[in-house]
Amino acid sequence: MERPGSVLFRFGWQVLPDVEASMVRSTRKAWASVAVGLIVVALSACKASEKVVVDSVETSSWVRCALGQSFVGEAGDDQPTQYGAATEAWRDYFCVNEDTGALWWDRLDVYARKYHGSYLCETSATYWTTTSRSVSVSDSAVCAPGGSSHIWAMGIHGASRPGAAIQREVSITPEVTST
Amino acid sequence: MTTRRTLLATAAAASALVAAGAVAASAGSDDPAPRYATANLPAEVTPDQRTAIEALQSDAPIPVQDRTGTPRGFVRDSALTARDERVAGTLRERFREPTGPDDRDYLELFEALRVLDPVPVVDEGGTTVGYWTHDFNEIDELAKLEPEARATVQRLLP
Repeated sequence: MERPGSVLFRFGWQVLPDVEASMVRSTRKAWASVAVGLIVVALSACKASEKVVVDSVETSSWVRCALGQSFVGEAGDDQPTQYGAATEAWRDYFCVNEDTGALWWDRLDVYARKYHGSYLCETSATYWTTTSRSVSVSDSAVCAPGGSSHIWAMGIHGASRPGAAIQREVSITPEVTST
Repeated sequence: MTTRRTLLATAAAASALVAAGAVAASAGSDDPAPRYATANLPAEVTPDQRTAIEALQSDAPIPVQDRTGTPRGFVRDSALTARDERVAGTLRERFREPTGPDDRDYLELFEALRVLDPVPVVDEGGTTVGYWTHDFNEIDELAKLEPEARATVQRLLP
């Protein structure tokens, strides 16, 4: 039984294993493209943050793939769904590595922060993995008991590579009004 | 001679290109890279969401509330993230990765480690008014949670 005024939030990273084989076949071509891209970036003296745009595909309205990954697809829009007094708002997002089959990342992680209006009211634990599988957060809690509450959750997705800083992306759920 | 002049001109042009690149790079460095990528956030966000995202990017104080919904002070994203990185790092090195969102042992240990490494919540004057574990705790509340947290860590961590 869900508690009144709660929001269930979930963020996901998943890798599709059957797509990896085709990615391996196109590795040489991809590496050549990446190398050319990096040379162009270096010559034009772009900031490091702009390199992320070179390597990632911006097609999702919520989240995007991490550096070194390619966008494959995402689940259809999941409008916030009411389950009794709780509301679930989530989307799965699929990425594959642009590497040669070995993991490009050192690890992936995800955590969530729940807000009541402009106030932070709860933070989830950090979920992480070093393998090709999903990392998700799913939690619920009461942020402000009683009355109407504007609640929303922020997901923070991290991808880290050996010797490199963690690349973090932010996604947010729609604001939900619970009574 | 002509060859030497050509080589010198080429070298000078290359140097100018490198210098121009360096100037462009240093000019760009005045504009710090955002702490979080947000390229695909929805076009329409609420004012509260916009404020929260701006606080993340600038590491400005984030207002927090307690379990009754009362505003209690502020934390910074850098402090929350650093603490959670420490806790997650301990679990990576000494425990295991979570088996799923309902992994009770993982969650219990994560929370115990957060209790033992709390983030101070401060008021506008910088005075500590409580601590953030996964939510707001009064100062004396946290002290009561610590013995059980230590027992959990002893039980679950090798």
